[in-house]
Amino acid sequence: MKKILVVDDSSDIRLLLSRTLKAAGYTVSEATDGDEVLAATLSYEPDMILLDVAMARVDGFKALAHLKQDPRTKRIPVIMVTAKGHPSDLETARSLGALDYINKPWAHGEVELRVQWAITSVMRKREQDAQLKIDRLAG
Amino acid sequence: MPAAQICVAAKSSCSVTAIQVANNLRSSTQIDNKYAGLYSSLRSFAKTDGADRLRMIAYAPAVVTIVIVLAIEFGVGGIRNSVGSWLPLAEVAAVLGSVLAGTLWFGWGQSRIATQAMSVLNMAEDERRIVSAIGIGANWDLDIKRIFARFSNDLTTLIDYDRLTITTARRDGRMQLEFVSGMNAPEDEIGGVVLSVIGHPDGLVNPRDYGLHSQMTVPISAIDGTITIRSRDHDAYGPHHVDIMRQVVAQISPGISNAINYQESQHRVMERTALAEIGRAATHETDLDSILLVVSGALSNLMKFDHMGTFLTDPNETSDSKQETAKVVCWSTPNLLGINVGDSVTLETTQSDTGVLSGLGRDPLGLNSNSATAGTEDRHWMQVPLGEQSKLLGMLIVSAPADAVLSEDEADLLQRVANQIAPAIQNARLTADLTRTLEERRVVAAIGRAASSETQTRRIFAVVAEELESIIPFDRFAATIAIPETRDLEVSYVQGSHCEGREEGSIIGTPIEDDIRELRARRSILRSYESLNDIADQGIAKAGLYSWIQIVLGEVTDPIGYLSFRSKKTNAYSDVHVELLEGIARQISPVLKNAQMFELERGLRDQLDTQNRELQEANTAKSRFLSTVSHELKTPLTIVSGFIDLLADDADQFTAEHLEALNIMRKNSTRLGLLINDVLDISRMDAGKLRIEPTVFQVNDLVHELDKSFEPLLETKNQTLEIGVSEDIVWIEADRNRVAQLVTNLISNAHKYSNENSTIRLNVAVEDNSLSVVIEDEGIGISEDDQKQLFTAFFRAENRVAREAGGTGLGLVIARSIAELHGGDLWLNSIENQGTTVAFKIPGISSEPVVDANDEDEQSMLAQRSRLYPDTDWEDIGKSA
Repeated sequence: MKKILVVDDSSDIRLLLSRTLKAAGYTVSEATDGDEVLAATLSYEPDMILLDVAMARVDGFKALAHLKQDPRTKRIPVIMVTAKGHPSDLETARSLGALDYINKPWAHGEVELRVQWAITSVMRKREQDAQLKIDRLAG
Repeated sequence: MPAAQICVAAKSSCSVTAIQVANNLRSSTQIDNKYAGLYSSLRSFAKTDGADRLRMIAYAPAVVTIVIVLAIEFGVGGIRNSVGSWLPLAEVAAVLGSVLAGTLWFGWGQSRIATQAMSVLNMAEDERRIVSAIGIGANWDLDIKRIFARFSNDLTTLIDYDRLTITTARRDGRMQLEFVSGMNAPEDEIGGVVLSVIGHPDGLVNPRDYGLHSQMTVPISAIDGTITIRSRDHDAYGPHHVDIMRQVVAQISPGISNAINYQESQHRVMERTALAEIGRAATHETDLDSILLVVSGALSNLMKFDHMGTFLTDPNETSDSKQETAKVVCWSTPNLLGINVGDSVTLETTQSDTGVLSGLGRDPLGLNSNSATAGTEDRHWMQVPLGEQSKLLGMLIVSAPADAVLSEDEADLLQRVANQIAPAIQNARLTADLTRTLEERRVVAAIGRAASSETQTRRIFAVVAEELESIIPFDRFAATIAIPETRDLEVSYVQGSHCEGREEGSIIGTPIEDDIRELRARRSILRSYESLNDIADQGIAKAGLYSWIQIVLGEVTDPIGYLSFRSKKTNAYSDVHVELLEGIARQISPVLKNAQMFELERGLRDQLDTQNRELQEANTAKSRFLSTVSHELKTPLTIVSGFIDLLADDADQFTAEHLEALNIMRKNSTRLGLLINDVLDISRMDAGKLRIEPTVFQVNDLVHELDKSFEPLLETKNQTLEIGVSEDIVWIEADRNRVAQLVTNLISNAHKYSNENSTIRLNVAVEDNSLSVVIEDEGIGISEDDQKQLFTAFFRAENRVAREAGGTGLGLVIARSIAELHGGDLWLNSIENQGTTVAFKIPGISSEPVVDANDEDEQSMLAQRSRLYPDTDWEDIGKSA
């Protein structure tokens, strides 16, 4: 069971995402603001993180930056969740190392699809990297 | 030597012979009067002690003796007989004795004459020597006064006198005292006029009062004068003295003539020098005062005048009559002869042929009928014309004291001086004219240039004032601007004197009726007040501004304003100024009009700018507000639609009614989501932030995708989507999501406004490297009126179907904006109740991109995400459930 960390300062969104993901077969943990992300990630060790951009204390981009700076957490894929959906936000997210982002309101099934794609693509990438290493060792 | 011959003759012969010789010599040598003295003294001597008488006296005893002897011998016998034989002897002895005695007597007398003649001759010789010495001295001297002095000194050796005077005749006929030696009388004044008393040419009316009893006067033609000597002795002078005087005068006359010639030539040289100096000054000096200074300096040694001036005609005034007016421009002494600089003078050019006027009086220019203001003393004056009589420039006037004489020679000289300086005055005038014309032109041009670069009326007036200062004298310059509508005037600019109530910015009424009339008639007012009381405006009267020019700016009937120049001097302005100012007014009027318009326009533009800015700010605020609100709406919408989705996942647990309600909730939350997205797009459009992110994608793929996504929606109204697309794969570089949004918008509109069972046609083609998409429906169409407003945000056609169909009224606006952002275009064609055709074109047809194998993830991710966008799900909930 893949573990997902949902970070949002809206408890309703946290509940919605938890239920949606649990229904899709994931284990979910929650964090309520950006400043909790690093600690929650270190303790929970999620396979991927859904990170809201607009949060009260520390916004999603700062939290993302923290995660990507820390070697222990930087390999965990992050999907940003945003109500803005502005191209510049997308750019910011990608430059900071987010894998994907989900616009609010999302379509039926979109969250599950993106999360699944993110996890599988990361896994595939890791496999490729591993294969590359094996090939190199073998070669 | 004739004198020696006379002496010899006198010694050897009798006095008659000497006189004869002297007489002969006198006539034969033809030396006028040279020996006149000697001759006359010999003659007078001959008269008193005549030789005939001497001869008679000397031989008288011999004659008597002879008579007696003859009587004895032939007449009287008795006597012979009584005497006897010794009688003949006695007779002989008596005759011989008497003859001897006569001879001796005669000889003595003869020697006495000779001695006397010698002494006379010696004296004559002395006189002659002195006279000739005086002549030689006079001949060698070139100074008349010195000649006179030496002459008077030398004369004392010939003639005794107690007073010697020399007078000369002046040109007016009166005598002038030139020289006095010996006794001086109080009335003597060298160079002064001697009182004309007959017989007393030296001016002494009563010589006896001074103890002078004798007088002799001889003429001296070389100087057209007389020499008078006087002595205290009675009858001191006789003809001999007159002779001597004449001789002396004859001796010194050539010397005097020489000296006079020399003096005259000196005078001519001085004249020439003076004229040259004046000529030089006239050539080099441009200022009349400086020229006249040189003139008076140069002439001071040549003429006796002590004051000089000129009055000149006004070159700008043309006169038809022979009487021209001139103005005194220079005058050495104020109020002398009642003349002052600036006086107006009537030129009398017809009085004399030469144009020279002269006289003696107090008021030569006829300036002062009132004698109190005329000159205080009678003076000589002389005027000569400057320039040709036909084109008189003015007159040169000099004045001398009453006892001095301004002769014809001086008039001649003065005329020559006038002729020398007249061209200079003419030149100075021409130069001044030229300079003024050039300056005026420069000023007009400068004003035109400066004014045209200025857009503020006040600055234009400042330029006018600054530039005109050099050519138009003014104590106050004011420019007024007519206030539109009210026709009042606002004082826009002031330079110079302060006038109460007419400060900058103050409002003054329109000009008074009289002024308006004058302005209408002449476009200007040119006035000089005699008295300040005549000035209506108190402020101007208080400032003491007598002269006034006012010029209309723009049309007289509808003036832009006025330029007003005022001066404290009376008659400060003339038509020349008016003409110049009118030129300037013509030049600046259009500029002022422009400036006024510009100022008005600037006001309006500022107002518009403010309004625009406010509108923009309002619009920005609106966009920001819409954006913020939309974002804030998204989170709750996400929660609502998310939970609806979660509920729908458990559809099997609900009744049909629950599901219907859920379906409606889901449909409307979807619509709300679309609405929010549209509003966000519009606000981005307003803020200019709607951007496209072009990628190269396959058009066929997108069309297929859209076809599939519209299937469920079209099914709700049983509509058919006919797609016409080429078999060839078409690639384009564009924003895939935005193009999809654009087509989706148009198809959903066609769906909304078309009836059930209708057909919607989607045609995709490539034209000129552009993607051409046409969407055609058989719907209700759009009325022509509504078509005009179709592309206005939030506009929706006012009809039932439209209202029922829902929608934001933003779709078409966004659609066209997307097409335009791609560099394409969108247009619409509709017939009410028949259908609508919407078409758009987007350039950027591309070839198939080369996909980087390593970037496969990226590509697939992008593709995946693109497919999920727009966040629209047309799927019917009931169906999916």
